[in-house]
Amino acid sequence: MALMRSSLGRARGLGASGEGTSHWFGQQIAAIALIPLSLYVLTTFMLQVVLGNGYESARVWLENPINGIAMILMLSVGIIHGANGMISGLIEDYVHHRVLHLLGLLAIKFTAAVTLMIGVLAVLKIMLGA
Amino acid sequence: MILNEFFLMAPPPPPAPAQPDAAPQTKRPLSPHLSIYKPQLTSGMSIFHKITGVGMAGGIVVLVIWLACLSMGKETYDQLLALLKSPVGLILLFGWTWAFFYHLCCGIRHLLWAAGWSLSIKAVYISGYIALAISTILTLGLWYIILDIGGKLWR
Repeated sequence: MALMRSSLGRARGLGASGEGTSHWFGQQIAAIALIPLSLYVLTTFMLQVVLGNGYESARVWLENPINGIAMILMLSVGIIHGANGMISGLIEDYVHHRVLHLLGLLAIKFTAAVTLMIGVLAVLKIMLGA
Repeated sequence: MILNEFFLMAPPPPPAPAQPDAAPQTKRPLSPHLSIYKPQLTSGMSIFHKITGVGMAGGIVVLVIWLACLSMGKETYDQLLALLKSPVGLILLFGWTWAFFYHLCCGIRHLLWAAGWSLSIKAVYISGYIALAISTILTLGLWYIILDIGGKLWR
């Protein structure tokens, strides 16, 4: 069988991503957390958007601490899971050009951070009645 | 006899090129080899798992925009809701619902594999069809509720 990996790569033993199994393990843990969180938050979100009685009912729904906390948890875990998934599933799998690879990583991480920050602040603002 | 000689005299296969350690070894094939793969349920579902994941990354941005508009007051919220309830908005929301349920079902499948369950080819195909069926049923069920009750509310 032909040797498919460079000697340095074999010595490092870390594969194409350059790290071990911690990334994969983190994704599995996030996925387990997201099963109940996303089911609850996203189905109620859909019902609020399409069925709800508009602004007032959506505010009342989110002011409930259970819904607000579930939303913040879902946003945090979901955005981290999504960003990690796109980094390994898109960038590391398909983008081999070094500059594009780096730009993709930056774009995903920065977008994830900004989205998470805006989302959490919006939920907190509504929960605190501002 | 002639044939025999012909075959005996056939030139030996060219020697395999030597593989010096210094050869440019970065030109190794990288998975996934999609271009030489026969389309299968397994590979197709794996690709859709990625596509729905990326799609939901867009969906969670819309969810955050919804939260931001909700925190900014009634006028902003009503403007966004009008966009989301337009035909294009509803189609996108339907797509995100299906992507969500599909990714959820497939993700549970991945968790079962990680635990070492249902790893035979047959079990992988069975769980694949189950995931497709359940995600479709959940999507249609949720949208039946939305459109049925929503239709009555709007009438």
